[in-house]
Amino acid sequence: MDKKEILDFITKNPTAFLATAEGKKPHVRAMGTFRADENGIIFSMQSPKDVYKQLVKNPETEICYYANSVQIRVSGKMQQVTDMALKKEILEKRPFYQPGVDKEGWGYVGAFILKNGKATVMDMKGPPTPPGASKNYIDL
Amino acid sequence: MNKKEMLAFITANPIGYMATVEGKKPHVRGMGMHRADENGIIYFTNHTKNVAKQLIANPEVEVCYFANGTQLRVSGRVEEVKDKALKQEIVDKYPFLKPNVEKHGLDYMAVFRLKPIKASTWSMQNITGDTTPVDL
Repeated sequence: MDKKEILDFITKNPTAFLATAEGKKPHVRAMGTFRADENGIIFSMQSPKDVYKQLVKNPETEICYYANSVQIRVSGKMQQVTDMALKKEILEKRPFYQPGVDKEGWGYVGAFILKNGKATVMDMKGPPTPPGASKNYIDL
Repeated sequence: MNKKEMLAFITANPIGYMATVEGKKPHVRGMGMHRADENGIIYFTNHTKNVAKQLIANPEVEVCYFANGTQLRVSGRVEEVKDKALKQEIVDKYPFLKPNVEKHGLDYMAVFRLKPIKASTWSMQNITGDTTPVDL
């Protein structure tokens, strides 16, 4: 898979398992990808959530997608996005944030972009990877 | 979900997304499991894999299960299981492991047991529901 195919796969299968590190402890949860394109992969969440606090403190992340026997993992550093146009767009698509925004203002909408992620693809339809083989990374 | 329901959910939906930490970096990948019961959840891989090296260096894990709009996250510390009888049981159940085990021996396999100490659930039916982890 090349960069474009990976971004298409993510767009079609937007459920990401997003991992963060809090000190020595890992965390992982399912999150819907807001958008994946040439500019990066965007996620949103309510800012009172642990995932928001974890990403502010340590932006290192890895996300895992899976569909039709293909697994794609993307790793890199998240950058916080405070752009109002994006936050408004997020609220339109995720109206359940509205009560929080009414109460706490736009700071309630947390947004992060993963730029220049490194992706690795595993296709379980193909032959198994030989033991100890190093991974192939694709720059996004 | 109580503990029994959680184990049943994992048994019915055995592919979890396992997160590990290497230094400051988190990692996550899909992982099947051999068994989930009162004694813990048994995961298997092999010693050439990064996940095995990461778990030995830092046994803290969280695993996320997601099916039919319900999410279950369990976390704790894994311990490596070196018991050959358990490894043989796993190889017998998953024949795709056989070629490498025949070539490299049972020690090639890396088996880990997670006794989860915290769990958190979430459901699409209650999208803004409380996801605070509870002690198991």
